Amino acid sequence: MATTTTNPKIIGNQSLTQFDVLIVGSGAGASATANVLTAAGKKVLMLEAGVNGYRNLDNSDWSKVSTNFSNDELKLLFRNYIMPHQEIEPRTYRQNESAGDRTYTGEVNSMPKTVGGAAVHADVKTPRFAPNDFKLGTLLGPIADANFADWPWTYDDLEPFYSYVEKAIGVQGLDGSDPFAGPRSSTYPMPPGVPMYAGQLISDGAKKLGYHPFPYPTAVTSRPYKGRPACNDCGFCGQYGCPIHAKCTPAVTLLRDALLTGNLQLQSETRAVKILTNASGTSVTGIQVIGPDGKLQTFTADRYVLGMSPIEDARLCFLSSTAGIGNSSGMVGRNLTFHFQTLAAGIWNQRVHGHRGRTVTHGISDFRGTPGDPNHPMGGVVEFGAPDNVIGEALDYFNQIGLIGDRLKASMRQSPLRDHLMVITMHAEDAPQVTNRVDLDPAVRDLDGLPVPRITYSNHKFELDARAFYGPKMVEILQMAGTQWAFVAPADPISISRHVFGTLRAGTDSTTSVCDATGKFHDLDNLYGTGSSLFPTSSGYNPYLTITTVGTHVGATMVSPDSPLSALPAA
Amino acid sequence: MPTKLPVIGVSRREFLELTALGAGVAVLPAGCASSGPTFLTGTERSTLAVLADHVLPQDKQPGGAALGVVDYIERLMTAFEFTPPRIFADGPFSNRNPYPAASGGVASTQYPADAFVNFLPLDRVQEAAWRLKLYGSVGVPGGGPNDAVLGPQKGMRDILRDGVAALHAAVPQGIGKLSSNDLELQLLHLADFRALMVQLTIEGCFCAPEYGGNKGGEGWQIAHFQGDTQPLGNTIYDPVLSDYRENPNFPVSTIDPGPDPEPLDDQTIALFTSIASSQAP
Ligand SMILES: Cc1cc2nc3c(=O)[nH]c(=O)nc-3n(C[C@H](O)[C@H](O)[C@H](O)COP(=O)(O)OP(=O)(O)OC[C@H]3O[C@@H](n4cnc5c(N)ncnc54)[C@H](O)[C@@H]3O)c2cc1C
Ligand code: SF4
Repeated sequence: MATTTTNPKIIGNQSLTQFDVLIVGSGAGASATANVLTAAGKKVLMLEAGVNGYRNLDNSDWSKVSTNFSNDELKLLFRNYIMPHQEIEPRTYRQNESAGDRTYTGEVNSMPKTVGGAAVHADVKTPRFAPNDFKLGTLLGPIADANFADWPWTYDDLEPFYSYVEKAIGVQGLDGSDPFAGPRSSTYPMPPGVPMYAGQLISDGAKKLGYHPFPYPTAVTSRPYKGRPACNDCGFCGQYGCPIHAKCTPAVTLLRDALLTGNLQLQSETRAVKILTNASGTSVTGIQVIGPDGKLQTFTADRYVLGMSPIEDARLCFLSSTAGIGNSSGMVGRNLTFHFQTLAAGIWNQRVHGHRGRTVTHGISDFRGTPGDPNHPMGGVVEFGAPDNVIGEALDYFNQIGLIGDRLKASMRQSPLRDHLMVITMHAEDAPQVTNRVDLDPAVRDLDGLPVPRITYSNHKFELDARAFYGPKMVEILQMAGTQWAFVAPADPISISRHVFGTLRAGTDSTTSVCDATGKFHDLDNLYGTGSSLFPTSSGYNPYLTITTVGTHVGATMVSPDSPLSALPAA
Repeated sequence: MPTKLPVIGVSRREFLELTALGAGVAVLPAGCASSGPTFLTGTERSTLAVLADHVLPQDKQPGGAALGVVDYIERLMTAFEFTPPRIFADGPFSNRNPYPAASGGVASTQYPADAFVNFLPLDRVQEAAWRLKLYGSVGVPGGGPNDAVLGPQKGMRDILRDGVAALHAAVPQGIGKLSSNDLELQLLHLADFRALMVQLTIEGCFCAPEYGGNKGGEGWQIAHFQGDTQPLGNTIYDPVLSDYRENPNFPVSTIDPGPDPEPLDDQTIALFTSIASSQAP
């Protein structure tokens, strides 16, 4: 008999009514900022549009915390438990302005919507960005039609924050295993977990070619960690939430830490729809939301942080003012970058059961490249990843190859696209371009009648060249790993990387950037960005750790502008 | 490095038996309506059963119909006649796998209650989306948000109902007598219906059994797939060893034991050889 299980919509300290800071969104950036603020005693209200997939997340006793996330492929991947529904929350896309109002309506790099944000779905690989990644404006120099810029922080500035975050959330990795990684002031908090068989095969192939495979740094427990159990390699990792809290995602780490301070109130199913400002537009006076009941409400605080991830952050700025909140530079919504992914598929004659394990356990940084070296162009980290589970596999046979009937069934039994397959993915640097941007679609609306975000985006030669250069090398690795077939998959017409950056670029020059080095909007005295919206460039590494690190830095600077390090709570 | 000891304690055979037992939903003949609210008529059920077998045929193992695809579809089409709507099964665990023991790196004999049989309440947005998916613009007050710009959306219920009716009109003698090729030719005229039917059939064959399909976990057995593995998982961290133990029957770090249950056959090899050679270098 079906029973109703209702998770609370409001969690944390429900008695709070006055807030120092209001944070919109509850993902990696937002949670990291909230963690530092609440530890310093600031009263914080967090508003999250998505559902709360946890029971008792604000209980200090781990045995009371449970979740709706499960090894359920149908719910997570095909019924969109936390992914936006294209029927009522689409985005639109066009390659450039001359393409007309839009050429496509539907899914454009949409991110999961839920308490804890997109990382719930991630398999949470957590390499740091490398030292060069923070100064590509200088290192690459001017490139036609691209807009590379230095970050307002160097690797050295952020290094102690990286160390703090790795310890606070829990990261596994092998010290010294990636020769291209930056210097570390701390060791990995946990050793690597169980290596996937196919990951080892590909690593062996890569080694034979002189590359440097490493156990992928990952925010997954390989030991019991802070009350959470060690991962048990359940095989439903990337695109699923973790049923046992072994993934060190925001909800079960920094967000929960913030909830346990008693200084945070989190309201889920509560969607920000407008930033209210004073008449001169220099101060935010409130955030208007649509609550779980569909009614409008306004919340206020002294300071406000946008943590909805780049596309929704920019959208809210434009929903709030035609010119865009904080847009004297004209840069709100611009310099939108995705990682440009190149995927190579390898199919072995034998079964390699990539679907068993943590999705990715190995990778290489050899293709990240050296700025300005044409023999070593700037691509990105390559992860050795597992394919879909069974529903996805069967749909691939039908949708990609046209198999139906006996051959569909034979394929499911033999499983070339699951039990025999691995996909290696390069997350290449995506050259920032002023013309790649988010604005509002002139006609397409969401369920509340609000304009949806429109993405105008086309690739730069920079990343296309990297793909052409490294794609064949990726195939070589798979061949050396003993695959029967290996090939580069066609590029996605519209990015589905789920790695999204920019739109509120941080920088020191208020004419070319939206936010300053503290994360504060240049134009307003009490509005901040956090996380990946601030990134001036995409780097070539998975972003979760750096989003959390930047979010931590923003929170620490809000608490202690002159010495942010001193604001870090105990890890 | 993990320790490879035969200790998790659930063998491949036991696992598949457990899977089948845990998923003990009674199998109804495809033409009979399951108990509870119904959307499909008897004729529609019979037609969808033929189509489910067209997508995944019956042979020495069940096809789409025997795996429960029609019940799966019925449950989804009537999802909103239940409170909460039967869209999202709860978690974190089914009752198909035991908890790990507190020590020793082995399985315990304790199983969780099956939380997948419970369904989650929908929030405002999920409810609006799923009503639109199932009932279409005509079936929800005010229609879809972009009907004026993009045209009205047709709901799954109407796509199925109209598709079956169109097939009956085109093949008055009944589709059961058509060869697979002839049926495919008919379906190619009904692109939306065909796409939806294949999608729902595949979901119904390989979903968690609590959604009404994949009866007895037999869809997963066809695919040599374990299904959900929590709370045991595939490895167990042993605090005494300070290391992992792997299930030797479902290892993570090494090749599977024993022979491949169904190696790639000549047709699959030919297919992938041609796919690989057609990809741009
Ligand atoms: C399947 C998958 C696998 C991934 N794997 C990895 C990986 O291995 N490693 C890695 O580094 N990264 C990975 N990523 C990417 C990574 O998860 C994201 O980059 C990161 O979590 C983004 O964090 P964020 O804080 O920027 O935004 P989000 O986590 O997207 O948080 C934004 C939050 O704001 C909420 N929101 C949006 N609009 C509103 C509004 N108007 N009002 C209120 N709330 C709103 C959203 O619901 C969301 O919860 C993966 C992503 C996915 C989907
Ligand atoms: S593989 Fe590990 S971290 Fe990933 S979902 Fe399963 S138990 Fe959680």
